[in-house]
Amino acid sequence: MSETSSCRRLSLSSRVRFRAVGDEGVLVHLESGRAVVLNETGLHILQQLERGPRSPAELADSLVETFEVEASQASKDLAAFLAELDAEQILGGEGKPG
Amino acid sequence: MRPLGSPDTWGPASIALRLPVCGIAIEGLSARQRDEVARNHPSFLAAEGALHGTAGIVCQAGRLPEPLSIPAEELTCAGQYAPRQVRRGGGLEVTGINFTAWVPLDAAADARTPAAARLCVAREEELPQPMVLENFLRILLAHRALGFGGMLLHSAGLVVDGRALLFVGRSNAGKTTLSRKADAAGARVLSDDINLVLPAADGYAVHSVPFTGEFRRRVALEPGAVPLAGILLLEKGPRLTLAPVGAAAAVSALFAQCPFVNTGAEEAPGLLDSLARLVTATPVARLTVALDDPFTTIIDRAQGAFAHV
Repeated sequence: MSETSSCRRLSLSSRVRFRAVGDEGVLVHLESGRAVVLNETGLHILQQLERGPRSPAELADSLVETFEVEASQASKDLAAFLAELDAEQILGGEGKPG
Repeated sequence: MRPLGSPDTWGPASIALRLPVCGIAIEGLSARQRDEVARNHPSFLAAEGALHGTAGIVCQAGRLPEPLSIPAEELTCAGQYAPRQVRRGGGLEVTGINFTAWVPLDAAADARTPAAARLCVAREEELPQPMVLENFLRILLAHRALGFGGMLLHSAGLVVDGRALLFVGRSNAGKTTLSRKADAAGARVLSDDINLVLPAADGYAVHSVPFTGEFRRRVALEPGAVPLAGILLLEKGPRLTLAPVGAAAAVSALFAQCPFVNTGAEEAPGLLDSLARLVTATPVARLTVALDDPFTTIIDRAQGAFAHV
């Protein structure tokens, strides 16, 4: 089981910033100056994390509520997205330095 | 460190430069340094005392006790030269190849009081060199521009029919090649390296800057601003293509090409806001250019993309 699929509470690393641009978002890495585009769902997840630490389950519930998707699909898409964020060191976690 | 004291200077000479977002007087120069700066930047010289009483910058030139010995890889980010910037108090400590500097960030308490900067080198001949003075000015302008809602962009700036087109791209994207084609075709080249974009009364304008890349050093600069017609994200490819770019993709691509401020935690949010406003007011498209595409064909395609604006 990966870290992001556990009960770990997730937060955004202090090394990134993001901004909504229309329905999408732009996420930037401060160490490299690199930027990536987030789709509407990715932007929503980051906006949730910006408000405070969230567990994967809480994020999945928010996706179901906001985008009216099946819970199983939301969890699957969320896991893939969080894995990408984790690989890019975009996620921090409680008790873990951002 | 806030080096506003009295560094060992190179001499009693000084020079004033009128830059797009602020004037800067450089003091503590040797006559040789002053003459070299004047030779390199004739278009930006301000008359002696012309900047007095204005909210500008007074930069003290100083001596380093010994040459810096910092490995080049420590001053590189994503393959590009990136002087080290450390924010302290109201400014930045900057360490680059052959220089250290202090760049003030806070606005002066009194709008007519100049902010204090410092630029130090170990050898007299180093200060006027583009690697030193121009990079110092790049960093200074990059941060100052943010306060005006503008930004420096890695780009080739070309003037066509009285309006500027910016071809934005990383190193080796084809900016200098395109600038050479433009020059050969009689078009005005603002810069083949970095351009300064600032909000204007009607949209945005591209301003001449005293640092212009390898191509532009051979050509006299014309100070002033040119209305910005559009931005093209430049890439090399097998043939000429042009494609629309969404707002978020445009902001993302442009952010990566804003040197000196796109890795700062304090600067990034403001830069993202400024870029979001820029792409709302200015058309952006992605342009792929082949090596042998003629300049007129490239420009016709680029202008065609913005014809409806």
